[in-house]
Amino acid sequence: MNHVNLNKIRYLTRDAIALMLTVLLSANALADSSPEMSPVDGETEMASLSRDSDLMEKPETGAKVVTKLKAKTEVQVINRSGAWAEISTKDSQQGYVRLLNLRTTGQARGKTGINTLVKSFKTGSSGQSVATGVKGMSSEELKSSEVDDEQVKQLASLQANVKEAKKEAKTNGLKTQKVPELDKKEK
Amino acid sequence: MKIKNFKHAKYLVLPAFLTSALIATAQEKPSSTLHDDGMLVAGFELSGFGNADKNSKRLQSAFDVGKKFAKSKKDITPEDEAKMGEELAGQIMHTAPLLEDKEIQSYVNNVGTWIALQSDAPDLSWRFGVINTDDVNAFSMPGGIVLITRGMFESMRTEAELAGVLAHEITHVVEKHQVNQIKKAAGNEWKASLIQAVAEEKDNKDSEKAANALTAGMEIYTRGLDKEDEFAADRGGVVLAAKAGYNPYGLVGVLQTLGDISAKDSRVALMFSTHPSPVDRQDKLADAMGTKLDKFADGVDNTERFEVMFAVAE
Repeated sequence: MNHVNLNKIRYLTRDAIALMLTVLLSANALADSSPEMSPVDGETEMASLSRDSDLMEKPETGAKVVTKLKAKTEVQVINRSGAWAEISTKDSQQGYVRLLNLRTTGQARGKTGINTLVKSFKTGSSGQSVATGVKGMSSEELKSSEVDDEQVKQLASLQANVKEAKKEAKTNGLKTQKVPELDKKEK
Repeated sequence: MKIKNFKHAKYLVLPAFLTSALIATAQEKPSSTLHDDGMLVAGFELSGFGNADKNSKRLQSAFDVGKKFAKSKKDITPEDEAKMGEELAGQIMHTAPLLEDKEIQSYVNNVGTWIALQSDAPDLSWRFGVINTDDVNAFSMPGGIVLITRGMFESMRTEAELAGVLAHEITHVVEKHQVNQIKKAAGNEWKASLIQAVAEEKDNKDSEKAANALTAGMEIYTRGLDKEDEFAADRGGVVLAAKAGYNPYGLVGVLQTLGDISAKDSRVALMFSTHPSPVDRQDKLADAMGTKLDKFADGVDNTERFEVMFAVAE
């Protein structure tokens, strides 16, 4: 009996370690690749304040105000959370300001703009090549483009099943909410 | 002028239903200047239809539909909208085809469909696609088609950001911004051009005018919608994302990403030329939102499927 139990424990331990390793490794992979992690690769996301803003200790209305920051203060964005952005100032004050008070100014650090903000990823296992050299779409191209019926068919074939979409949303923690519409505000 | 270029001839067929819309408008406002030669679509040197029979037929059917509308003063039907949307999407996807990645396409369709179900048009035939271009942009078509570029998709920090983009596009469709733009196109060169083309169609002499006119549909995507429609889609987008259970501030993060890209970057040239600046959009959105949606800010930011998508793809 003892022997059997010991073996069982051994196996359990082995399995547990394997499981833990898997979890740790995948957690690590997630952490490494999560596009939520900005700044990316040592790049920083800078922004300036659109108006005078309270720097709060916590991301909550009514939290303690660390200091008052003037409009146009340059800050580094560390993270976003709900209605708030975690930021630090040049003089190393850290805290939260309202996300809506942050403006970026077309000066993403690094050579090609958006790449400094995002993790680029390979386009799946299809082997479809990522174009060499970045290129935008042009209105000339669009205007002179043909209608590609095959693509239209392919698009239709990708359509989600409504039941499936609902089920997936639920699995991922999404719940419908009643939300009032926003009116246009005239200044 | 004679058409020699098949490629050109082919795209003439596109905005059949725009023709209808404009004719309908013309009927409502008989005072429109229908015969001003100076009001042709600028910049198009098209020339006839050549031997593209198939396309001539489609063009003819465009006129037929147009005439039908002109006579009955009917509005565009949902079927017409859907057809128009497919042709516009087909044109965009000819320039930038769907990304060949089933997982990503299926993911975006599931997210988009869930959001669209919370809109005022849950029963449209919603279709979503990621198109393979570095360009950072998203497009929506009447009838329920939303295309997001790979460049845009890659820049998403969270699923809430993706939800913000899709909800913005869904709002354009639900509020019929594209269709309405055409209807109220008073003063636009191409409106007069379209009307004139159809008016002159009976003697079949000026088919190149019709051709010019029919390129009008793409104008929505190359010139952009009304600024106010973009602001409205931003307001509608944050609300719709929240209705679907997301943190409504996702779209704000996207606007900040866009605002951080140099205007000289070719990947945003089209977007910047067709939309108000990201700063303007945030200013307007901040005015409208204030703290009204803060109670929904603890909605979903990220999901397991989003993390898996980006982790696997890394």
